[in-house]
Formats: sequence, structure tokens, C-alpha cells
Amino acid sequence: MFEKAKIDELKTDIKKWEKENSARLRTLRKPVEEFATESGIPVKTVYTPADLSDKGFDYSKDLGLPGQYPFTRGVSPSMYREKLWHSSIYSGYPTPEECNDLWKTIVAGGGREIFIAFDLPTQLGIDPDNKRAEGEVGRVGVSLSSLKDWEIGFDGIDLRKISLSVNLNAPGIIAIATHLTLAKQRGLDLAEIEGTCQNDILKEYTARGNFIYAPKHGVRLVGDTLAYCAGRSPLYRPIQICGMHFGDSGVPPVREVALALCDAIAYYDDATKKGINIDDIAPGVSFLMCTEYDSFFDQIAALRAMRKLYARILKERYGAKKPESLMAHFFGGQGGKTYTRQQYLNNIGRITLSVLAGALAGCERIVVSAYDEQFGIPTKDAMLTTARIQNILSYETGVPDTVDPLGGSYFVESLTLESEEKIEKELDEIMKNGGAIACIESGYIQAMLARDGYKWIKDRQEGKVPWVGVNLFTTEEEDKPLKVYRANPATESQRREAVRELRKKRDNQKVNRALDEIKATAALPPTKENSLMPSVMEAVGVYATVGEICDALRSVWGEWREPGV
Amino acid sequence: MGKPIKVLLTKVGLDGHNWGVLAVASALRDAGMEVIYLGRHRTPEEVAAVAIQEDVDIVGLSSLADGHRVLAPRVVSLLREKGSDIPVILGGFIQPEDVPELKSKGVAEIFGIHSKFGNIVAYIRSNVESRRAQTAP
Repeated sequence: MFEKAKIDELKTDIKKWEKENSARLRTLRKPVEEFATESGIPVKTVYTPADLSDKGFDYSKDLGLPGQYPFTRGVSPSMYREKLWHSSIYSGYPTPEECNDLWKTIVAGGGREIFIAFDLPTQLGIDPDNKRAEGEVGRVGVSLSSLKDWEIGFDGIDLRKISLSVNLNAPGIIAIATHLTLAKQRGLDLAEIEGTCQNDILKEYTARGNFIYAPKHGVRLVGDTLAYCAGRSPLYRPIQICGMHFGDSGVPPVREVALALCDAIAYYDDATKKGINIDDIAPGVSFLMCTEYDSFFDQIAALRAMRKLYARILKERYGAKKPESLMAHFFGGQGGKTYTRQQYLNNIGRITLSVLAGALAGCERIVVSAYDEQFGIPTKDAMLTTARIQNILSYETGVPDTVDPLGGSYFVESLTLESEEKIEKELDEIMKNGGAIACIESGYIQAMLARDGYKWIKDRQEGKVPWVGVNLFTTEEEDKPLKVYRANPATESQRREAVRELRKKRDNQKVNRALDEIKATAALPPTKENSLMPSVMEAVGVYATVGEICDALRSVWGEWREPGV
Repeated sequence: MGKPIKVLLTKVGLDGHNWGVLAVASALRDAGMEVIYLGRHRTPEEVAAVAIQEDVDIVGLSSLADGHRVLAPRVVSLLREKGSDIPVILGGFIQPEDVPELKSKGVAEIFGIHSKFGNIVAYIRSNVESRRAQTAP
């Protein structure tokens, strides 16, 4: 791609330029001692075609056109020219009744995306009337314990007109079964149902913490959902593999990508070993990745490199044939780790830059925290501001008008190649240690996160990494709490009552039979034939609760205790 | 200096965010303390039992999902019921308006998401040293 004679000429020029400017090139603004990305890749003064030539950069091999292998420039040929990224808002009020109001408002306002936040008892497969749920029902999201609650929550909402994302992982199989059962109950064709379930149990054992059973059982449940949705509901993505929670715990972008890829490999290895065809399941997979502004180019380059590496892994490791199987679809954003309570309106600037990073990285959906999330569950005003910032980026800037606008930047392409190399190295290291499951069981990944997370905070507390309002441009101000949203404590008894009422009204014989079937299947070897999806669908359909289904599985598999760190 | 300060750190309830508590564990270890980290999803009963069994100097609870309003006072009362005076401190995402109530229910001190490691270390040191001085023979 580069003419050797021209590159040699350029290198001679660079040497001369370096000599002429040597004193200034050695002078770094205070207090910087060296320039490097968060992932530890050194950043040079300037990048030229010589850097790309030295790295053997080849346009067709390394980039290709948008929508073409290896998808470095994006998975779609037209990207945002055809369709802007979805701007998502993560929401969930404590009860199905309150959510129904909220979701109807979203739909009436022209919104088609509902992204549900669940409370912790639901996320951990515990019913509201269980003692372990005390003090936590409806606190950080909605409590939906059964098909009955979904019927209330989605009353008057056409499931074909919305794209429904549910943030459940350990009980992900139950959420998918409930969504599909509700659609069937209304006589809808499953092929018309659009949505996604996070369903990425592996990162729960490390970065997010909402696990129930041991990793091998968790992965089995994921495999069963992937196989079930394949062919039945092509618009439904039954898993969203998450790197974001690693990034949100202080892990640098390159490592975040390596961890997301090793988790993807664990799911695919499990499924393909069971004889499930990779081309049946891979098109239903997407990724939730960080697009933090504080490692701006690092993050964008890591995601461009990830698309390329993912395509290669799917092609070479799994022999995937369908082009859609090779595409890493990104849902980008961040959970607000860089936001500050001090001078909190500055967070609006941080939101803007994170959305920009997501758009420049080619994310198809972007969700970012609201500016007041350092104070509590976001207020409506703050959520609206977040939505409008996304609108400004989408409609006022021209950023979406060309595909992969940073493509061809000597710096970004150089960083993308270096990121790719570094991601591969980190991934190899994890695979050498037995892959994601073994590295979770041994505590290897947890130790990695503990190191990175400690460093992230320490560097900022010690002022090594600048943070406006915290260690730079600080002002003497009280930590003034905004008006924050608080869950109503009465919700808990209301939800306890609802689930008790359900147990009285449903056919408990049918429920017990369905739960026995789940137990029997769970005890069988984890093969394609012994999928848990049919028996979970059955149990959901006769109004078994999330807690009861999870207890049935607990009675066979037990609960997982994490290794010490 | 006597024997090293022994701290029990854990997450009580269902909240899974452990970035902060793991970082505090590292900071306390760097400050020479012995840290037992019990992990996530622990019940108040388990925490109280381990604290007494391991004879720790102080218990640190981490919470970022509001469950502490019920669970932190419960850990304190379980310890007191068993005749233990081990102090309990709380860190994480704590609404300032909840602090007076938590303190009135026996939580010794409360730290926030932006508390400096140095301040946590200094608090634990002075609390434990003054308690040791009081009980010294």
C-alpha cells in the first residue's frame, strides 16, 4: 500500500525534523512524564504513513470497506446514514403497575425501546416474600416475579411495536421464556418479537456479582437459550456479552475487550461441543462495551480492533460461514464511573464525550448514565438531558454522516493495530490458563480486576490521573445532595402480597409438576437434547415464580461461592 | 505496635458491586492490616458469626444498592445480642440523609464512594487503637 521509496524519503524527513526540534520534542507539559493510553500503549508526538508502513498495514486486509470482512470499519455498509444509533434509557420503577405507566408513556411518545432495570431479588432469583429479599425489593429496579407481573407490566403495549431489552443474567432463561410465552399467549408469531436479554452470566462471577449457580451450570443455561431462539425468533438477541462491566470496574479498554472475547469463546465452545451449529447462534449475539471519554482514542481503537479479531475468531476457530455470524454488534456506553459529585454539572460534558466516543466507534446502541447518578437513581430531568445530548450528537453535529470517520487517521489506525496485538496477547494468556470458566473458578480474573480497580482509584486519589473537580480545579463546596429518587418502603409489602396472592390463585399441581420436570432435566447431562428451555417455558406458562424456578435449579446444582481475593 | 489490626470486609445482602470493597481491601493491606474478605451475598447472621469467630477488630460493610438501611443495623444488633462490641463501619453509596439514622442504630462510621483510602485507614487505626487501650490489662 505504501511505496517504499516515498516512505524512505518520509523517514529521512522525520529524522531531520526530530533533530531540528529535539529540545521541544523532549519537553512535556507539566506534570506529564510520559504519554500513554489507559491500556499502556505509548502515544507518540505525531503519526505518519511511516508508522503504518512499519506495522505492515494493508488496507484490504486490515480494514476492508464498511460491512465487509474483517468489519474493522463497521458491521453495516451505510451505518448511521441509514439508521442512527438507538439511544437507550435504562429504567425500572419498583412495581409492574408503575412500569406499565412509564412504558406506555414511552410508547405513546414514539419510543420503541424499553430497557428494563430489575431489582436485586429478581436478578438473583429470589421472590419478594423471601427473607433474603428484605430491604431490597424494588430498590434498584422493577420486581417482576412471574408471567402475571409481565401481563400487568405490558398491558396495552403491542409487543411487536417495541424492542424490549431485559437486564437479567442468572435468571436470563426465565426472562426469555416469559417474554416468548407472553407473545404466544397473545397469539403472536415469535419471529416478530424483537429484543434482547443480557444473559451474560460469566461477567457476573467477576465484575457484576449477580450469580446463583456455579459457572458451568450458568453457561449451560445460556447455551440452551441460544439454541432455542435460533431459527424461532431471528429478531431476538438472547445474549449480550458484556465488556462494559469490566471497564466500569477500572479495567483498561484492551483488557476489557480480551475479557469479553474470552467469555464469548466460552459460550461458543460450550454450544458447539453440544453440536449446535455456530451459524445458528452467532447472529443472535451482541456486545455491551464501554465507550468512556477518559480513554477516548484507546477505547475507539480497541473496539475497532475487536470487530476485526471477533470476525477472525468466528471464521477460523468456529468455521462460521454466514457473514452475520462474523459481525460484532456493539451496544456502547458507560455506567458513570468517571462522573463526580463535585461540580456535578460537569458530568454533562462527560456524557457528551462518551456518546461521541460510542458514535466514532460504530456502536448501534448507546446508553450512558445521567449526570446525577452519583447521587442516586437518576431523576427524570437528568434522564431527559441524557436523551437530548444523544439527539444533539445525532442531529446537529454531522458526526453520523460518514462511516467510521476516524478510519485512515495515522494515529487511530496505528493504535488499532497495536490494540489488536495486545488484545490477542491478553486473550492467549487467559486461554493458556484454561479459558474463562477455569479463570473464574481459580479467581484469576477476579484478581486481575482487583488490581486494575485499585490502581484506577489510587491514581486519581493521588492526583496521578487528572480529574476535574476532584484533584484539579477543585472548589470548596459542600457535598450538596440533589433531590434524589427514593424507593417507597411500602412497595415491599405490596410485592410480597402480590406473589402470595398469585400462589393462591394459580393451579399449584401444574406448577409442582413443571418444577419437578425442571429438576429432572437439570440433573441430566448438559446436552443439546437436555435443554432446560422447554421445561422453563412450561413452568413460566403455569405461573411458577422466578424464585421457585431458581430454587428448583438450586436444589439440584446448589449455589456458587466465589473464591477469596 | 501490637499485633496487626484485623478487619473483616464483606458485602451484605444481594448487591454485587465489589470494585470499591476490593480496592479498600487492597488499601488496608498496603497499610499493614490483616483483611478477611468474605465476598458477596452474605447474610447479616453469617457476617456476625464470622466476626466473632475470627475475633476481628472491626467489621467493614460495603453497600451500593440501598439494602444497608435494613442490613447494616441488623449486623450491629446481631453482634450486640451475642455480647460482642466489635464496631461496624459502612462504605459505599450511602445517601447523606440516611447517615443520622444509621449512626443512631449503632453504625460507628460511614464512608462514601469518594472517601479517600487514607481517611479510612486513619479512622480504623484510631478506632482500634483506642479500643485496645481501653481494654488493655
